[in-house]
Amino acid sequence: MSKIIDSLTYIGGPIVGPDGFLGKKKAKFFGAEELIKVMDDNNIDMAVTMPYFGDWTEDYMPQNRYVADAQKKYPDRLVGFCWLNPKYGQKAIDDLETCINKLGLRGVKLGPRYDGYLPYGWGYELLLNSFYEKVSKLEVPMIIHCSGPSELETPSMISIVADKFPDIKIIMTHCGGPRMEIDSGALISRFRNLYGETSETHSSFAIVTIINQAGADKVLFGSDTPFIGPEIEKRKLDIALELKLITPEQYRLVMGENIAKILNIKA
Amino acid sequence: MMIIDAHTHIGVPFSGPAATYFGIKQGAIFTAEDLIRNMDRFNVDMSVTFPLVSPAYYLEGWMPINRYVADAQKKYPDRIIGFCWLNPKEGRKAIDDLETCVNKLGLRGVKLGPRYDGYFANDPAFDPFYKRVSELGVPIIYHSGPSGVNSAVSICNVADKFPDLTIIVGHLSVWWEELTVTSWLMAKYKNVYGETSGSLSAISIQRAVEALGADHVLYGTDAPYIEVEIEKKRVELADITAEQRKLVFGENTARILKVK
Repeated sequence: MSKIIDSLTYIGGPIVGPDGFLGKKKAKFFGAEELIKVMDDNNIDMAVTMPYFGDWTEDYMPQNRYVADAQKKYPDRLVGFCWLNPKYGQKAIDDLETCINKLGLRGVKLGPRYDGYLPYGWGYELLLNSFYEKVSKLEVPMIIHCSGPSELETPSMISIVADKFPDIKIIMTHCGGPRMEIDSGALISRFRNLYGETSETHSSFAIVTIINQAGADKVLFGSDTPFIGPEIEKRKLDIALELKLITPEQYRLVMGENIAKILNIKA
Repeated sequence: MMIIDAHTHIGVPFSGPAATYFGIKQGAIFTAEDLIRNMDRFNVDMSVTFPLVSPAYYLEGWMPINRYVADAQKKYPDRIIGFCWLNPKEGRKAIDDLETCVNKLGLRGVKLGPRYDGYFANDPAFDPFYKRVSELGVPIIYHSGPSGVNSAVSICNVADKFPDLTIIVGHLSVWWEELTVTSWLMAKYKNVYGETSGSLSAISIQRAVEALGADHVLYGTDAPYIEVEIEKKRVELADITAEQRKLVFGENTARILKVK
């Protein structure tokens, strides 16, 4: 069996909001060590990890540094991505360069709904195009958050970015969100540089539907830890395998080989 | 611990990968017996069940499957609690069908699927329908989600107008924003309950228990659309007390439906 690689996890941020996003009981720090424990408990070899969306008070750089340190500490387990807000214009482009070239982070995450912009359209492209060009030039993958019917991030808007910037490997989180598998499956199959991540999907059956439509080489297992976790999200893929809804080869692609290829790491 | 699944479907042909999971042939009817076999497989004591959505049945209306559900309840009174699916757009006919389903067929609640039948949950045109459901003293379980026709907001509007009507918001209205925003809204209505199937995470359950109270959250699976073990796992992983978990897994539904 090749490595199990989780394509979507978060570490290192204070949890903000009136009660803490996770509710009063869970409003605590979730860091690299906590993530490694979740991975060990669930037989996950490596994880792509990035900052929480939590800290709006300043830019994401302190949290990006935390993730870079975690990657340095656990090079065999963690692959760090930076979270950046491209609304900061040139500063975001400079930060991207710092994150990739100096901190050694290996991809970028955008959260349009959390930072308040559209990935494309309404004139935002005028601001974002130079950021996307920089991502393309640095040859790193870009994860764009997409979960359900937000006006700020739809599978279609993300597909336009994939169409305009064919050299960027773009990962759509949550395959667009629960009950969005019909939309996202169609779009992921249409753009060769667009991939879907599996957490938050409606069921293992929804994941199978997307795999059948878009191909197993376009779908990446993610757990959304600490918001959902592998107990739920990995189990969905295991059910699909056990019931022979997907082949062992498809399972291996989704569980790690695809993201390994995107990141140029050994599966 | 008694487990009552507050959200299942039976009665029409079913296909796709989920059919494999639930052990039926592609395109075969998901029967009461199939449901019970799966309840046994996952240690579920009782299930609230109503018709499956099927485009073919839009042509005949919901009554033929409602009768199937009523027969199943009669055949398996210790395992199955039947609800009818009705379309309030049918006006007078919907109210007549409601009377038939509750008073003659013995069905014990109503399922409404605004997005499937194409209407807004809170359309004032349906007030006479809701009034009659309220008088009959049976609960309504809604399909709910971020589509405006059956958002938690439009459902809470009904709850506001009919405070004696017991309303169950299916799927906790799903999505993170819905969960935070609508749990706040749903919590304002004592007659509004949340049902857990299709929610995202153990955190979804915790949040609902915090916001609505453990006595207002009902365990459901949406079988045969979602894996039972995933739905169960979310409730098992939720950071709530054993007492709260017992309420969620069955005691609340038993109380609402007066099941012994």
